[in-house]
Amino acid sequence: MKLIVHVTEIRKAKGLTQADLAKLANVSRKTINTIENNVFVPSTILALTLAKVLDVSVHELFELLDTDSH
Amino acid sequence: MVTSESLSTFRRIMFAITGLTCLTYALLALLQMRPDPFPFWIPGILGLISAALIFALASAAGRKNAQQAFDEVYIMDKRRAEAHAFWIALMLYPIFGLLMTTGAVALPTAFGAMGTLTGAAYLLLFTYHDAIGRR
Repeated sequence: MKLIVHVTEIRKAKGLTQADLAKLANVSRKTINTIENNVFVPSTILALTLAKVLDVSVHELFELLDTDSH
Repeated sequence: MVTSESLSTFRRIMFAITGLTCLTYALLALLQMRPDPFPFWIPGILGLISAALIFALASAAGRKNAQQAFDEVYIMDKRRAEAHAFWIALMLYPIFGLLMTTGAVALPTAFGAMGTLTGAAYLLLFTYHDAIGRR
């Protein structure tokens, strides 16, 4: 399973910077940066918070790619 | 005004200063073969001053900024540094045991060096983990 992160595209479409989104989600800019670069997988609470502040569903922000099936 | 970013930067700088002081103490102790290359209380007092200053700045920054600076990724960095520092601290025992057995280092010197190296490992590893991922 591979996690595909769509936070960057959605954030940019909303006209927000990483700092803006960090402030809205009450986390550091590094947290947004590491989520966008797939370095850090956020908790359920943070994923839901990001979805809420970006006004999208969690499934639009994060997607699981099935790499096991051939 | 203190922001979450300035609070994170200040925390990283204080951890780095305290960690480097501990590392310097340990290296000088080993080079000079003495347990107190400079006053033994300096690393400890510096750690307490760092903690007090970080706490004061976090208070000045306000609850929201402090929460942002001490968020999920901070906890991840902290745990990662703790895990690596734990193994480094454990590895110091056989290394210094060997050095003392061969007579290369005396017990008082080993005591001073091991204590400060243990502190330096956590502080510098946290500084490293906290610094990466910021652009």
